[in-house]
Amino acid sequence: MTVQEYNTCVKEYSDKIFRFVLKNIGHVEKAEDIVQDVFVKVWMKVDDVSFEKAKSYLFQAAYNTMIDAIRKDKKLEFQDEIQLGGSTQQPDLGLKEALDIALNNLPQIQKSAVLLRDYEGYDYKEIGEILDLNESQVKVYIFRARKNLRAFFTGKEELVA
Amino acid sequence: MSTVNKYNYEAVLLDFAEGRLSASETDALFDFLAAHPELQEDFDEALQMCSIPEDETPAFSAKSALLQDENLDAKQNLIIAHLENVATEEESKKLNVLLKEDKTAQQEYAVFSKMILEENERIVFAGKEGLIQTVRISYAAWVYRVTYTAAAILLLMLAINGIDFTEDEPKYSFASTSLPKFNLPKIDRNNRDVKVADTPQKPTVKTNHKVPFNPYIEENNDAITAEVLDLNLIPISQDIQLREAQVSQLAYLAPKQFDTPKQEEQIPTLLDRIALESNVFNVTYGFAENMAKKVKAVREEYADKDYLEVRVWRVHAQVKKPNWMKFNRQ
Repeated sequence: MTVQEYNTCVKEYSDKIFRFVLKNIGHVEKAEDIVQDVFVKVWMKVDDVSFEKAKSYLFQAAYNTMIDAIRKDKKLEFQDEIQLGGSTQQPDLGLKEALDIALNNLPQIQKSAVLLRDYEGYDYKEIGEILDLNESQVKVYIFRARKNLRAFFTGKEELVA
Repeated sequence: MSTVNKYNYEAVLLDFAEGRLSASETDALFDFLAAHPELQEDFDEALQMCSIPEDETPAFSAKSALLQDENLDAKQNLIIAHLENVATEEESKKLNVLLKEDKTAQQEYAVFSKMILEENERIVFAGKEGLIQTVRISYAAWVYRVTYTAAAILLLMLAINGIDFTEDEPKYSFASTSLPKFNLPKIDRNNRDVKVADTPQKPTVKTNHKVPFNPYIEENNDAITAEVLDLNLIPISQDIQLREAQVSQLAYLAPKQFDTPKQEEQIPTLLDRIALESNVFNVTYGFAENMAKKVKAVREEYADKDYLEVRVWRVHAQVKKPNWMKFNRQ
């Protein structure tokens, strides 16, 4: 990958990776640090990464860095910006806000899988490569994620009406 | 129950009306009534009292809402598969039929359709500009460039003025002169907020070095000044890969200062360069072999450090531009 291609990656994908990480951990500064780290890592391996595979490489690096950060720093309150909804319904909740809460209630792996699917339109194979899963596992996680999201709206059908 | 008699027949009648009598007890009751036809009226009355007619009008209206669809899971799987675009032809047909006939399936389809996540493109990464790279020089390329430049300059000087190689003092070690030491604040390894410490001081110092090739130095400025532009303390990541990246990225900063496109433009300001010095590596003016040794030393030394201490130096001396160079550029 050339410097120009690397810079194209920064311009094209840094926002997407930021949103992906932010949705996963719900903490702006932490997400910014992770994106920064990811691009530093990629820059150091810029000769080894092809431009064609750069996007999935970036997402893979982002996911791994994020998981490492979560493991290392479990005490950090990642969720301080988006309150977990649980069973208490908030009166002025819109669909998007409710979906955010529902998303935050998903297990980490389901959340990442469904975000990669919906945000980036990756197929199961590509998601599997990023998350280090096989295609069947990805499918199972995505189906479960969708059912869990649906279950969150049980009794709150007016939000999706 | 004992036998039915005039004293207990009312209670027995009530039990009968409520269906609590066994077959033998019922037979006993009817035998008793047959023997006492005058009690038939009481019997009819008891039956009427107990059989309250069911009023069916106030039905529980929300019953259907409470009923659980026994096939919901299968329907949801079909819907998800369809929305995920992984449904087989058979599954698609099945879903089409369901969507025409089944109200639950229609509702579920509507809900699932609205739960596809959408990216909020207003959320952007604020540090994007900082990630843009303007130049990239690998170590090999940098070593080549420094070697090439240094060799060219040496040859140029030799051709014009000659250089005395017998002198003991190295001629190009300007920035490796003794630098003032600072009392650096202690860095708390657990304090993740520390990024760059305040610069305690930015002294300007004079060195004792003399520029060895006088023809290009102005007579009134034959000494070199060294100035600390900045002093940064950067915590070293605990992640081994990140540490490697941090150190390497800082090492990249140094060659960038040398990155002037045209060699002849380097000559007048050859000595006006930025030098970086840190507690774990030292990038100054130097030749390729020195640089290679320093890079190697970095990798060995930084492992147990808590932070990188990076001093940015400007080393300055005026050098006259030779006349032939002016001529060449016309």
